[in-house]
Amino acid sequence: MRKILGSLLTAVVTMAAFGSTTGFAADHPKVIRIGTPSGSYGKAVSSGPIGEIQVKDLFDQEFKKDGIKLEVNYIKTAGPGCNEALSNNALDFASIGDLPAVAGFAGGLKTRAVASTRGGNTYVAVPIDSPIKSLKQLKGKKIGVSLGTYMHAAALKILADNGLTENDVTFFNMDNATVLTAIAAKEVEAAFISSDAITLRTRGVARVLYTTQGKPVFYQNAGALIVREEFARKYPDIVRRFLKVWVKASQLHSLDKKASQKLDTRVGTPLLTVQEDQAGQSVLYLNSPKFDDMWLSHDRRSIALFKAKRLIRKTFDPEKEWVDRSFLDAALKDLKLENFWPDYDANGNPKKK
Amino acid sequence: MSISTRVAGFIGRRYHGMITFLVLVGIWAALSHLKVVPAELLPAPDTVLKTFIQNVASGLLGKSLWASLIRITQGFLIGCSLGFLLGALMGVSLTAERLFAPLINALRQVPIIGWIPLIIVWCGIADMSKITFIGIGAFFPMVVNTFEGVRSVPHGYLEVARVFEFGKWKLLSKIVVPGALPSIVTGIRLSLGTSWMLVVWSEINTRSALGIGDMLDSAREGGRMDLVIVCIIVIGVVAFLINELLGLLETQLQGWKKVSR
Amino acid sequence: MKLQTIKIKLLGLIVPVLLLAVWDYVTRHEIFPAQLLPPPGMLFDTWLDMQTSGELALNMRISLLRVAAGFALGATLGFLVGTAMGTWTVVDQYLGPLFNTIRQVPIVGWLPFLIVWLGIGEVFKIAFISLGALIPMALKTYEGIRGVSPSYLEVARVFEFNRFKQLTRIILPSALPSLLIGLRLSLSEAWMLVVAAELVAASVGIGNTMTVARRLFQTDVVLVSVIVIAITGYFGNKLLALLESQLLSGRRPSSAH
Repeated sequence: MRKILGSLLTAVVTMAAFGSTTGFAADHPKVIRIGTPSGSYGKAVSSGPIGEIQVKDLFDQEFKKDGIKLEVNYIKTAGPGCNEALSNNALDFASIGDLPAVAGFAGGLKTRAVASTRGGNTYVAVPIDSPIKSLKQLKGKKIGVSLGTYMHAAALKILADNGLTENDVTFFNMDNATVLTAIAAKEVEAAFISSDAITLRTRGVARVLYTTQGKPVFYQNAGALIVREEFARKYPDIVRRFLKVWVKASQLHSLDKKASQKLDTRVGTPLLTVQEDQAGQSVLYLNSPKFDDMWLSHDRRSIALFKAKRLIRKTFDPEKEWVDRSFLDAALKDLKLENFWPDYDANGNPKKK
Repeated sequence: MSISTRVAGFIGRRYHGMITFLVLVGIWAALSHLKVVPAELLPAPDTVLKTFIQNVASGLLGKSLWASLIRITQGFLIGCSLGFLLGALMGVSLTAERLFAPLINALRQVPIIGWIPLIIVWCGIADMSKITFIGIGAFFPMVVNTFEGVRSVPHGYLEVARVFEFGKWKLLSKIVVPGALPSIVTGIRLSLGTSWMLVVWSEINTRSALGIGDMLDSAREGGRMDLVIVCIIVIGVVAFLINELLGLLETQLQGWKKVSR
Repeated sequence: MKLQTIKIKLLGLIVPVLLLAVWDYVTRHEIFPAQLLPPPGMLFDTWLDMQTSGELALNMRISLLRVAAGFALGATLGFLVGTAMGTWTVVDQYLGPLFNTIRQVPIVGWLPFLIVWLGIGEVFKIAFISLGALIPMALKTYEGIRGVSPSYLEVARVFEFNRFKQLTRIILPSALPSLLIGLRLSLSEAWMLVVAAELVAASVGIGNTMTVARRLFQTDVVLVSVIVIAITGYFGNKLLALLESQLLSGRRPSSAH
């Protein structure tokens, strides 16, 4: 018995001494892990800036020489799932919508917003043969929505416009993929979803009752690229360089609306859906990573709304407590793109310089 | 006995149950072939069989099942051994019982399924959370049953040990553990049964990797009722096999006791 | 109370109090981030907030109603099924294997199946809970009836009781301990399943409260919900144990399951 214990102890000590190096603080990570909501078609590819990075190898151009890889994680539970992953140190960056980004930070998740994202319409879809003809008729109905995402936030605003609150309807929490099946199977009577609504309409499965297209910018998503604060503290240089890659990708995506939309279809969304969803919106606007007035005022209004609706417990000043422009500004300067995107005002119009 | 005699005997004993099954399958086939129930709700038995064969051939079923089995083994071993140790400790030491029993009894009240959101927050959605969850589920029945088993060892046995001046180790291994064995085995059975359920549940809730529960939920999402039925049957069969295995174990360990299912 | 009893009770408090102290320390000094493990003080505040806003009461009430409905339905059906299988050999022979097969499938496995058939409304939830509550009750009823001492049955034969009298005067009373265990198992199963059903598809209820809180990264609300669920389960169990000891005042009540 003693002998066995003795050798066991030696083995444990040896392992501890020469064991895994994950605890070692290297001067740079081997992998940068970014999380993003998984698409409704389950494909492990992205649209937008991440799509550009993937298609044009932008990450490798910057980081290959250091032997660092990019790992894109597609999170089924969208923004809220990314928050959980960040909280478990399973992700370093995440690109998520307004509600999850704010809720995470307000809930104690230590992140920094390092670039803005915008765009993202919300649609109200009902099964094709539904008797519901107006939004007011949503009262008392079973509604599927991915809670905690920007669509949830938009839903509250849309309902309020029609004299309804979340207590007048019954929200059923469903991930994006599940909601689409639920509408088709008539499990729910309505749903707040993204541009997938257009695809459902084309397939004859659903009717689109309402869309935030053309509405004031507050109805659309204004999310952020967030980073774990600890990661940014440990590797500020890496974050700065990643922002360079991000800004470059955003720039490339802002150049040609047609080309960008074609790239966006790689996630499985039909081209016509993408075109209809982005109709009337400037591709330059949609891909601006800056923390301009549009984004800041949107964020502040959102925080106030979420607090009033008890979605978050405490409010905060995004500019003072959460946003860290330093990485973005350094990247813009490096790439000489400081004036590439105009600053948009609270209404989404470019400010005159 | 020859094989055919054995099989005939087996069928003969169970033929009542088989008749019920055949009748049910017959009704099922009739309902779906006569389109009384739409195919989206109830695919025909032959469709289900086809799907089953497809998934076995593609290896998906095998891989998913294997992943789940690995998880249950890991979680069960951890939870069961920890539960056994604590239960035994509480059984032999009155102080230990008084220290831990109130807390254990309180934690036990949380329906094991309710732990899942908390565990996901704490451990993420990767394998660790599933195994932790299964471990917790395996832990509680084991603690309770080991404790009861140890306490139920007749005092007469302990007297004998004292008379023969057994040392602590000998007392435990020769008297206490064998005496507590029936309860311990019950604990293992409950533990394992719960563990299997929790594997499925945790996979449904985290949907992060291959697994039979993941397959089941994915099938539901995709509206594939045939696959749903296949998964349910597989889950049931595994549960049945686990039970049979434990029954065998029980008979081995307690040849004279009547095995209850 | 005797000094000895006080000492025992205090001993039982040591570990929880120690854990509480460690918990408070760990969160205060940020060894564990607060978003993962809210400090005890914060939990109390959250609980108070949930209580005063009525959110907790509303959701718990709905969940308890569902449990009551599912338990009542499931336990009753389970009792009937168990009695049928225990009393008439024919039923046992034909239905027994089927029943034993169905109960192999962990209840949560039936969830996707039931959702497709019954949707995501109340019907699905009550059906799901009843199914789960049915099985242990049926099993224990069956065991109880089958376990009636043969000498009792002799008595019934001597007195020439008819089937019904046999059942109500001899068999059921003798099976009472098993029946009561069955009720306890049934109730705890029902309580567990209401949470499961609500986690998957609900718009209100304590399980839903947890789901929404998770989506909004409110770990404190999740933790408070878990604690409330635990306490409710505990009291439910205690209530039934009380009933058990009343009805079985001669015999020794079973402690755990």
